[in-house]
Amino acid sequence: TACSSAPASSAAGSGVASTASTASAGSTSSGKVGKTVLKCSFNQSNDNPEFKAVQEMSDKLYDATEGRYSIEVSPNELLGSQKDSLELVENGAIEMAIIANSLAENVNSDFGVIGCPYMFDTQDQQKKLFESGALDDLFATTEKSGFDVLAAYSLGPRSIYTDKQIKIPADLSGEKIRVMQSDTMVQMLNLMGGVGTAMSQGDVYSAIQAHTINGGENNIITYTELKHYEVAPYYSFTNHLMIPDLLVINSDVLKKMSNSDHAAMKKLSNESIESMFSMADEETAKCKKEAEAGGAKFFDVDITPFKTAMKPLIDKTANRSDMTKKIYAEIQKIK
Amino acid sequence: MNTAAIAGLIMVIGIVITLALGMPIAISIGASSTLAMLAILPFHQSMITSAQRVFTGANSFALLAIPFFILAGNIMNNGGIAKRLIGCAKILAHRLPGCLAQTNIVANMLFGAISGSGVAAAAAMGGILEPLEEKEGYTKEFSAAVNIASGPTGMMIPPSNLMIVYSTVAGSVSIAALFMAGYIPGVLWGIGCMILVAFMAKKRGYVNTERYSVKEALKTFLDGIPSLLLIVIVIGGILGGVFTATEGSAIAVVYSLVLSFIYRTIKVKDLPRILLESVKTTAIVEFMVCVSSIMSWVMSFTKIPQLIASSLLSVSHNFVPILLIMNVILLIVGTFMDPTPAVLIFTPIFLPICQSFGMHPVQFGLMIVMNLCVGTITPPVGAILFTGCKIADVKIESVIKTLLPFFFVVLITLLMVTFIPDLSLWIPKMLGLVTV
Amino acid sequence: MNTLISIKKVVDKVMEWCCVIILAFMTVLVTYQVITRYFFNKPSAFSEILAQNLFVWLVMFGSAYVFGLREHLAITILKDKMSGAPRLAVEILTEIVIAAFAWTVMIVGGYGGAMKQMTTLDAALQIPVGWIYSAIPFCGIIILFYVIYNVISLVHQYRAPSAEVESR
Ligand code: NA
Ligand code: NA
Repeated sequence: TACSSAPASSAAGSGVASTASTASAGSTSSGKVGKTVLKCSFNQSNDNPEFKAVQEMSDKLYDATEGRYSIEVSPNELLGSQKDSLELVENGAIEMAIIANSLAENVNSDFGVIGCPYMFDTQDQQKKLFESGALDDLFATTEKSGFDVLAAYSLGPRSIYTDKQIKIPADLSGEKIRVMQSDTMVQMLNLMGGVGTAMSQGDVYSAIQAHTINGGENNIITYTELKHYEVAPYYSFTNHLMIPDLLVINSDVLKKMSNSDHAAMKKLSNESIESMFSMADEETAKCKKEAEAGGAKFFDVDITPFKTAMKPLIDKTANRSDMTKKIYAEIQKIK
Repeated sequence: MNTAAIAGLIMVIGIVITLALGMPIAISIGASSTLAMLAILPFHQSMITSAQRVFTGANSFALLAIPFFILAGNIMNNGGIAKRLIGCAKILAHRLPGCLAQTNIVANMLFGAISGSGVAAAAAMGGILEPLEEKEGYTKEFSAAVNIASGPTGMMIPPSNLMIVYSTVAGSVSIAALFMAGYIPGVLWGIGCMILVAFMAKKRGYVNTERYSVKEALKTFLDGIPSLLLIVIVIGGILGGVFTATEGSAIAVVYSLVLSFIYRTIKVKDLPRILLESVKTTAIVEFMVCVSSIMSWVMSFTKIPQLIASSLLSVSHNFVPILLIMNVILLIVGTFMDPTPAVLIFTPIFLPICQSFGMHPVQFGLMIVMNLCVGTITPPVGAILFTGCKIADVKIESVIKTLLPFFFVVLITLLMVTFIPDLSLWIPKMLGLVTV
Repeated sequence: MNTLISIKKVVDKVMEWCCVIILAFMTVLVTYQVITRYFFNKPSAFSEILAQNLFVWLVMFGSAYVFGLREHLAITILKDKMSGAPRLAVEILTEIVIAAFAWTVMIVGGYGGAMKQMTTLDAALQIPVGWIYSAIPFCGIIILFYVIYNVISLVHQYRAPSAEVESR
């Protein structure tokens, strides 16, 4: 399972990060190999629900296009970090990649609206939005950078874990919580009442152990995979962030497809959202059990005060442009 | 032939020919890999992808530690720190047969414990100690051989630039764990040399003339404390989570600079020269890391490591012969190639195989680093061999004979590190840096 | 020849000072990062990324400079046994391969990559990634200059071996 295997490094390595898992397994594509094989770069292991969802999609694509196309997913940053992979897709060196929403945000800041803290109350609201087709206009905006977004996934809500239970924002006062390396993330954690501390993931475990920081924030899958429950066993469901990951494809590749193949690609991408979310749910439940067995304690939290604190950030993000206003309205409809 | 095989062939032939012609190793790797990429991608995409790999190769916070450790080493070398470390080493070693040679070994380990490279240690310590050894009647060849043989301990005992390079190429391997894993193998290497020197010194009649009074010893030790403290601050800080390895390396620069200003051994006007020297050394190492990133991408894209792995596994399904084959290959490669490019080339090929047999990536790191460290003291190409000979002003040919027994000791240590996981993993396990 | 030598001296000086200043600044930056986080409890996401990007510049500037000195690591066992015309041929071939790499990968590829990244903003620094990237094509041009200089001085030296030409 994903929970017992080593996670891929989040730092941008030199590209050959952990070839290990593929050495004995040989090829990473499972079954049917199409006439055109679309290479898809992924930064985590082949146990990850996102990996499995795209691999599952490959066989369906093969059938739907009568053997013209299949997808080969390269895990563990073998072809580069998410940032590198996006560039490779833009340049056409590879065809597809799964990237973090924040990378698309660098191309068009409107993407921020679907990754904003406390934009959704539940994971289900996010999934409904992703499947609704309401994001099609947003997804088309990246075409001038050379890529199209096919689907959005999410590995689950992120919550704060530390060495004590968090009930209200005041509990976070003075607590140094690791966040991803971006100023928005630091700002988010500060609004929640703590001290956002940017740090690369590889240093977090020992930093918590040494009390350099007090904890971190992540989804249950990563929390368990990295064994952070050993040093920060109190996981409080602040559910503050549901980071979308985007399945992207080189625009020229998509344009060159026949109308029916193109339609099949779009349809199967959308269907993969459902299967990805259900696999992520299963994985989350499994990881939660594993973490609990290792001493983790999970607590429900009344998120209202945290959400109120985030209001300025949500308003700013929602009112950034006409596009974000429209999407924000859609999200309210779903709620 | 499929594209993977063609790309692989272009890469291997290209590298061999250009290396043999004496082209810069970095250009040899970079040009051959880009040529190989043309077998799988159109021209423009190949160029952009290659450029991106060069960029990514340098765009890493972990690798930033290398210029800092090099800079710190250069400052210590210019400053009064090297002299004080020798003082401390002498207290530890002065009762052993061949006192000055023993001091050289301990000093190389101590200097290695604060600098990232073995060459720096051998240059600094040999330069100060060898004139003294000559006065005591040691032959130049003997002094040089001892200094050279113990030089690589500086690359095993943390901090180690080579381990940093390894950790970035291997993926998610913690630098702190690798650093801690280096202590026992590095110290074993040093102790092996010391035992051998004891025998050789007795045979050669190199007896001790120096005796310390307790008061003198204490004074020398106290004088050395600020220099020794550097080890505690950097390694302690990294382990304690106060800072990362990169931050620790910057702290090492600041600390050694402050100390050298206090000792008045460095002036502000020396700084540009020291900085430039460090940038040059850094650039030579890092540019190789950058271009190797092109090579590793081509290998991943065409799945060359899997190809090699399956053919190696078809030779034997038993891990012991496979490990021995790897050791022999690495030792041969090390005789003519610098450790950095060799780590960059062979990690992606060998690591997956070893991991599939359950070897921990930290132990593999120690194994590959140690194998290639041996190469730094062997002809025809060996950075520490060259430096050591230059410092002692002796010919390489004349040192080799005295160096031979040391190779024997080092190879025994190497076999132990290869086959006894706990030699590398025990300390990281104790500190909770590695879960097995 | 003399003009070429004086141009090279200027280029060398500029490169040297760029390298020295970048490394000194990086040291200050990383030290500052430790101090702000550990002593003032004010972690900075900015310093780490800036240092990392400066490092790209340092490596590029430093390697270009070392190409000018012809001090990049090489295995010279075979080459050292050669002399005269064959040696000159190998030296010039080496410079040609260096030029080919600098032209195709660093200038063509690097420029293409930089242009593509001009619209992408670095998350922490809020500047186009293309600016950071542009160190590659820029240093590619510097390397080309050094190659031209090296070839001319190699030929010069071959014709008049006794003349004091600064080629190393
Ligand atoms: Na060291
Ligand atoms: Na050698």
